Amino acid sequence: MSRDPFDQMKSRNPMPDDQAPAAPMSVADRIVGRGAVVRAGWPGWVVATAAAAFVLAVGGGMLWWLSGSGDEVAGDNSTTSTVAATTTSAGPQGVLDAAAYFFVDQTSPGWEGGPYLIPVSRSVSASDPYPEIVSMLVDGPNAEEAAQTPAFATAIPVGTALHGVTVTGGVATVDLSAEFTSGGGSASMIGRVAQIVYTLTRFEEIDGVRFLIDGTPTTVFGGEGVTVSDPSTRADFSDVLPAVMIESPAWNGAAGNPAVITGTANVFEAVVSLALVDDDGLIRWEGTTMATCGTGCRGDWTVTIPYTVDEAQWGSIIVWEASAMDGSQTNVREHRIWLTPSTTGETEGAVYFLGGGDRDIAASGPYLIPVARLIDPSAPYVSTMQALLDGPPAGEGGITPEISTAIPEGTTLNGVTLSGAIAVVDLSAEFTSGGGSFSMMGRVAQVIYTMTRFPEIDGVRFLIDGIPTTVFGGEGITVEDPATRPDDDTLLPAVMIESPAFGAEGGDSPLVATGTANVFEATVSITLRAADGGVLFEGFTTATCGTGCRGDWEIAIPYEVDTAQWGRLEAFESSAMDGSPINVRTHQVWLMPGGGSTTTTTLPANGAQCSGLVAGQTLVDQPGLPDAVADKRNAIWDAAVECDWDQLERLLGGEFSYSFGGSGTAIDHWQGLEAGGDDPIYFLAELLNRPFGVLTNTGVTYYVWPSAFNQSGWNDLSQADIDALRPLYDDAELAMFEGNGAYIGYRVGILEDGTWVYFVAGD
Amino acid sequence: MTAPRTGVRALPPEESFRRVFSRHYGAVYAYAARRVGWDDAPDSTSEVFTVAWRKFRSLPAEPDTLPWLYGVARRVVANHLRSQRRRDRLDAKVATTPRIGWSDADPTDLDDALAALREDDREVLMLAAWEGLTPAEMGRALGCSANTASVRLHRARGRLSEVWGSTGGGR
Repeated sequence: MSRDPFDQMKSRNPMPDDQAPAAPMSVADRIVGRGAVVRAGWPGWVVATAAAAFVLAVGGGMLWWLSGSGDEVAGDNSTTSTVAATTTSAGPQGVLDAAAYFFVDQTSPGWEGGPYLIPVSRSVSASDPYPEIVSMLVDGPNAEEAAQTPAFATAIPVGTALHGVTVTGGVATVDLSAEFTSGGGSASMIGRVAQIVYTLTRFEEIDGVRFLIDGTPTTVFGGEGVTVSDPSTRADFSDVLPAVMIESPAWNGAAGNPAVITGTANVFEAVVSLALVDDDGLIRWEGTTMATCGTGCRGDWTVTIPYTVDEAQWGSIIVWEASAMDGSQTNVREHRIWLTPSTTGETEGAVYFLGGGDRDIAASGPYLIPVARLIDPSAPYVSTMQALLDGPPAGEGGITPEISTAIPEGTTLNGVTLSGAIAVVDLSAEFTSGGGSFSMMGRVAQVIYTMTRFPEIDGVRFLIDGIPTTVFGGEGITVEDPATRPDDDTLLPAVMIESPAFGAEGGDSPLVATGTANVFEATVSITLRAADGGVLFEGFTTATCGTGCRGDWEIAIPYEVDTAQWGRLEAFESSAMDGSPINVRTHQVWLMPGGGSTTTTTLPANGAQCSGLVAGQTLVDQPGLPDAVADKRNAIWDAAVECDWDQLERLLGGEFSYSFGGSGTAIDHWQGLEAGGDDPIYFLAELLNRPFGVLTNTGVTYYVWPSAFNQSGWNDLSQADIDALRPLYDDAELAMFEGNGAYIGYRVGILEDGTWVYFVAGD
Repeated sequence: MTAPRTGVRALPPEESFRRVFSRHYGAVYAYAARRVGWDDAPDSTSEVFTVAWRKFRSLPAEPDTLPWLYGVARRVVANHLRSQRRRDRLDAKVATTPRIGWSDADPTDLDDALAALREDDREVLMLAAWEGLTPAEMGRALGCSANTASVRLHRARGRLSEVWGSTGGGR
């Protein structure tokens, strides 16, 4: 057999192509069939919802009209495509963002069947918007909208003519031709009136709509006698709304940056879940918000979503109700929206300088450090390179770390161009002057790291005064062409903070920090300090690789400050010898007072993240526990599922174990784990609902959860003990316990007298 | 790369999509199964094709279709693994390496060596060894040039050999 591991890898394909299953065409049909494209006549959903509240057909007459591929709407294509370019409210050209309400099919478990109203973006002139928007509404969906997935439809009959719209005292009066009342059952009639009412009352200054048919005031429509109020308001038509409705941005509307999303919902406990998705269909933001009313009433909701995109693109806002049963998405509403890069004049980027920071005695720094710089988003590469060449101003960083550059003074930028994923950087000859080989390596690395911090850039090609160059300086430092971030990490500190860059804005809580590290057991300790040095957060995270290799790490750091201030983010390794901080990297970070963060609505009042909220709903009774133990178990459960940290702290016994090694209090430790994405409090609650065991050690009796935590080892466990660990642990983890010889996951221990003595994991 | 699908255009998009689905489902499924395991492969595969249907108009023609699908699958799988990571952490002590889809059947030193590599190195190696892509195809899947893909593969192979040697592989 070949000794090349790559060849061995080839021969050990876990899933050879010939074992792949045949394509299940029903899945393809389901993907394609979501609101199947309809070319003429009836949209798919009309048939699909035949049992719904809407009356669909009377005597074979057609009740819903589609203005499908007709020529009369061809002009609308250009209307929608320009929407993206217009910003909110009246632009310089006097264009106003408005929306026409059409119908769309929507499957809605636990909700009456659709179709439901959907606002679809239209641009109208600011000078006379009302007749224009009603006329666009009467024209119906354009060809693309009628043919897309999901397709839009209108209940307004073809041939309806608009005589005029006037607005007085908050009431719009719409004069339509008699075709408006022709055909259709009562559902279609209600639908078309609702379309007009919603479209016009989307303007803030309009509260209600009066109808004229060929000049005659009308409140009764159609043969079946649908009666509407005079004037009609939105409140009369709540039946045509889905459980979760997005009002703004309309379909195809501009999201703005940050995106402000508003809507209404009638959902369980008023909790609305949202996700912002980019052009690749990947989630850029996910969170929840609360409607002003829920579980049986319709409330309003608003969310401000920060996001970053490199270039303008189509994305989606998806809003749904999480099923109370299993958390699955129900009553999903999705709008296609136009995402744009942030419009602020400058964006924050970073350049790499050399900073102090210890690593080990033999090869102490300086090491590369990313330092925040404002860059011009219209010329990001040039402005970033220029900021790099400008170097650090004297005294940047103040005391620690000392920040310097290896790029010689006087180096100028001839240009930066992008060729595929390669940045071609043209520098003046000063770049190669002076300095030894370390300085030469440092300056080259500064350029490479700075440019490849842009996600779209993989490597750098160097030109010196226009001449491709791969060898620098008298000592002959050679770089590849193109040069990428080197595999060896000689220029990196043991713990590197990549983001936030030194001097960057931390943004709203939680601050998300990322970096790389080559540290013992891959454990990276993190401390965030306020300007006065007080600790705002202490915790740790695990890099993807450790003890001899460099891995990536990431952590979300919740913090609260009263005033904006410079804080210090410290990432370090805890010495394996005595736990003292070594290899400390410190970044100055601008911290902001909270508020504006919309994700906090799901978090408990004290601001810390807590997974106890998602634990089961009831604690089962466990006969056989002494009263004192049972009482303590109940109290811990209550505190855990409510995420009541204060109460948890009160329940801790005097000699309490929460970690084998580690500093701080039990509560700090758990909050740190929660913030890092682990869920100890969920485990705490769930484990108390598992069978318990009784252990005796040096005359002391412990009641422990789960029963799988025993003294005699894994092989003595009954299948019931093992099964009780699901779904907290999956097969792989159970196998790991087996291999380990014992359960070493989280366990809870309470003494006979009711003293809570441990909640800890590990061996 | 995004050349119009001439010749297929004549078909209704649903039918074209069904053909693409039928032709490439197995390969995408295998790709997903190798990375997230058999249990989650069907869901990930459906997600890939759902994205493909939504972006059907920009779907590149053959022979670029499959590499393009791999590119989508790579991000779908990354999303999947990201959400799984939370579940995966038992505690900082026991979960030092991410669980890897292919290792549960027969954990060996080759798996250890692969697990010790950076994610992008691993992906390049898997694309070459298991999906059998050429550098040009790999470039399309990874969004880089064929040259860059070759260089990445070369380096990743070097690093694999290095780690393999240091973990006592190739005995």
